[in-house]
Amino acid sequence: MFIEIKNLWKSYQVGSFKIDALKDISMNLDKGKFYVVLGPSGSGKTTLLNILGGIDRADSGKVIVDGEDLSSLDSMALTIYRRKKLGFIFQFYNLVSSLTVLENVLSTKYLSEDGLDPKEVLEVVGMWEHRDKFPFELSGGEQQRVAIARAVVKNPSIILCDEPTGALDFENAKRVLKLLEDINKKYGTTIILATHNTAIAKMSHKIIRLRSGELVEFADNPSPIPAEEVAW
Amino acid sequence: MLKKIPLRIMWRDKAHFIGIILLVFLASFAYAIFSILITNIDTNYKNFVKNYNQEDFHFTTFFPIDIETLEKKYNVSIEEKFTWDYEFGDKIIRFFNITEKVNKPLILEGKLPQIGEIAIDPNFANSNRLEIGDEIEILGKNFKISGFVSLPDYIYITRNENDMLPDPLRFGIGIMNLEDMRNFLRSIAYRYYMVKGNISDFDSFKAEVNSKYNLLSLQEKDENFRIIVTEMKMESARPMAYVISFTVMLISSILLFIVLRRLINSMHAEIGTLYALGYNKREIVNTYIMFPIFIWLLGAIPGGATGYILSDPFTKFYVSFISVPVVEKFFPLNDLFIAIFIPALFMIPSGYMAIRSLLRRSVVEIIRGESEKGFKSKFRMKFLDRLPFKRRIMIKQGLLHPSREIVLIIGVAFATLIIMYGVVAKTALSYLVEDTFQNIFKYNYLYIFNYYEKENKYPNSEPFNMLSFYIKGTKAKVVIYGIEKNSKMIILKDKKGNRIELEGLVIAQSLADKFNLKEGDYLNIVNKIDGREYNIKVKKIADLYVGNSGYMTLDEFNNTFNMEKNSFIGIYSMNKLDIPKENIVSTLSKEDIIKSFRDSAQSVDQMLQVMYMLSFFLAFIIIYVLSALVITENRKSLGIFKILGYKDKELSSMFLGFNNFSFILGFLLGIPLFNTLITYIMNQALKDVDFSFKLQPTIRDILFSFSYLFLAFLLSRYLGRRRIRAVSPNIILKEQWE
Repeated sequence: MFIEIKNLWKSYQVGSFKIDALKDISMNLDKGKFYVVLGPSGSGKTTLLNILGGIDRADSGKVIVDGEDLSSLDSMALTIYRRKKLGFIFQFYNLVSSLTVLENVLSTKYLSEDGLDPKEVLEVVGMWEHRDKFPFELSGGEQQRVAIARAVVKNPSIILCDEPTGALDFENAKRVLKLLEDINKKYGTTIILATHNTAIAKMSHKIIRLRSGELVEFADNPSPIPAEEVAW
Repeated sequence: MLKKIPLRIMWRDKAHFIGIILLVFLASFAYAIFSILITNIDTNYKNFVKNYNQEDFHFTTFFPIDIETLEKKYNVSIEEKFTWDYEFGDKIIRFFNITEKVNKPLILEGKLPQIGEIAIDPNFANSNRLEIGDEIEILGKNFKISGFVSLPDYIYITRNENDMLPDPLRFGIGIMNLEDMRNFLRSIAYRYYMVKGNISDFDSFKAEVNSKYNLLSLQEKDENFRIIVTEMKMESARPMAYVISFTVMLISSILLFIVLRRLINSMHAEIGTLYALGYNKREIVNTYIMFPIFIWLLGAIPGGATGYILSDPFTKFYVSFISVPVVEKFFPLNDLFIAIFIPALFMIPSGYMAIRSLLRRSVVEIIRGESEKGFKSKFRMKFLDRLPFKRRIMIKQGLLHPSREIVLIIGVAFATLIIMYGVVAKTALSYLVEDTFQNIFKYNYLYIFNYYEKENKYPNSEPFNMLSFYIKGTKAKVVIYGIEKNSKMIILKDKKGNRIELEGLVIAQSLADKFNLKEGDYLNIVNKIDGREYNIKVKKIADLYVGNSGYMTLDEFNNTFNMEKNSFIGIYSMNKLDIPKENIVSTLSKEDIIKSFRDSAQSVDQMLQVMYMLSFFLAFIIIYVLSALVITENRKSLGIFKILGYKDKELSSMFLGFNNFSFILGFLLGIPLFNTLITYIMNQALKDVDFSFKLQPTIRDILFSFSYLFLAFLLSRYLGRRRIRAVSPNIILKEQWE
């Protein structure tokens, strides 16, 4: 078992209200699989990803990734964890605006000892030609492809994607999904993709469905469809 | 409703704004305190000189002069003055009779002494815990202290004419009535004449006095150390004070200009939204212009007011160095006004320009903001591609914002200048004491006789001769000494530390520096008494930084200046000699000089502390404000890098690392800047004065200054890193969603 989540609780205080973002979540995830976390806005998808990504902490419960208990790590150890194991892809790309495409990719390649060739990765995502451009010179789809390259280049064992197609049109969204599928297959990277788009769930190996912070479905998808066939 | 925005944002980001406000505070404070100080000293000094008839020159003669005849003939005021040293223990009070025409005494506190009373200088009184009303027994007679006095010809109260620092614990001046003084004037009377007024044909005046009354000495105001030191210190303090206050003001203002632009630009989204909602430009400008106005008010008013309030103790503290009697305190409102309003001149227009340039864009562009706007091709900087990623980003950060780095460089250079000024002055003082007085001047006592002697009756002593000259075409005084060829009392060395064989004229390095003289050049000098001219070749230059002096062998000296063979005016001695007082004009003990230097070094230390604080604060605040700006501006990128797995230390070196170069460059620039300023002060303010200091920074001075400023750098870097640590990637992501 690659990722073990046990009785995970997380709540936020908003003014005088306490909102439970995650309520007693438990599940086990295997290495090299493609997971889709489904749920509407406010269901706890992002909170789950942030805790898995070591940028937020649970109130109680355990998250063990590759034998490492995240709740026991201090902030420096969490930084090392992110550096070694994780890649992130966000809805709004979050590229560093003052760096060119290549430099954005190099920014994570630098962190990895056994990273991939930035040129190869940028070619895979079709952005090598645009390597000297700044993010503002790219379309949303192109920026997201650079964000994927940035996540992949350090060859992480997990890529966390938070609504990676949320800001893209249909064609670009499908292109991004295809890339993620290819990466999952080519590099054996575990992909955990959070989305509210149920159609995307069809390409996953397993569906994690959240509603108001509760795990309501954790089911295998016996016949995942290729990304090209995903439609909404 | 919009009016609430500025103060709320300032309160929310108070750590950021406090740095900027402190900078404005510093600018207004520095300007107020220094300008009020200079106004006070200048005005008081001018009033003192004018109202109390400071002399233009004084002279001594062998025979008493006919004052009335000379006054009428040359249309000047002349007054006779007697002086007498009262020695008790290791202390001396030099008493003068009360004069009425020239060098009138200024009673600072109390009243003029009546018969049986004296007035003394307040520094001596203070150091010796004497108060008005106390009684002092002088040679069996009791005198009451009636007040504290200041004399226009003894502003800088030194025992010997060429002493560099006053020693108020051991030496002071006082006045008493002539009737009282007559009791003490029997054998060691010292009488001289003070003159107020301009004489067109000075040479004929001197010639007449010399032929009729045998002129023994004459000293013009310009060469009177006890007068000129104060003027000289004021001359050197004035550029320093103005340079400090104006530069602090200028650096702060440029920094504020940069910060305000970024501040306004960072609020692009909300400004754009307000614009989109229907607010017009005027309403938006009126709201956001309050940022610079609030920063200005919160910084400049307390800064100016604090400077204004502290100017009084600061002036008192400062005049203890330069001995200007502060009779009247001035609180010039125009200085305060300038101190408060100049920052506004920079800040409000720069804030306005920033808002206007933002509002010139379309609403969509404003909402997208500066951070998302285009980077031109020059920002790609492909020439950096070969460097490792981290270093590349660090260099890019610096090159993308040259104006910030320039401000940092100028600020550090200026802080270097301030601290070096203090450190080098202290080293120069201790060099004088530890090196010059120990290794060059080996004698322990120096005695100057009333008249030329021909036979040295004292063992363990060496005779010397001396004459004062002007350098032709200037007012600069040069003293040439004739000493024994293989003197054991004066050991002149060259720069390499080798002893100089005395042959021909050897001059001090300080004299060579001041007049750009090299070995082999000719020194054109004029005898101060008889006006004869001499043109003497400079044979060697000695590594000596005390005064404008030159040395020859005694034989060559007497021969060159037509003096009797073997004659001498004084002796250097290793031991204290028992010479009848009536035979000597002055005595000098090296131990006393060193003691007074060490005592004075304490007050120099206080001045240094001001320099230390100012330079530290300046360097710290500039680096801190600029680092805070970089961090605030790059919060999002920092958050992203953190998510990607970068450590705080790495981010600190990537985003703030360029400051290392700027800091070092600023420091290195500060050294020539200091040398230029010192050369300027030496050449302009002190050019006509027989005064010199070795104000060249040593390696130790440079290392100390660097280490000290580096502490300020490290502190600001530490705080910067704390701010980076506080950037939460989670919050950045949330802000994005909001």
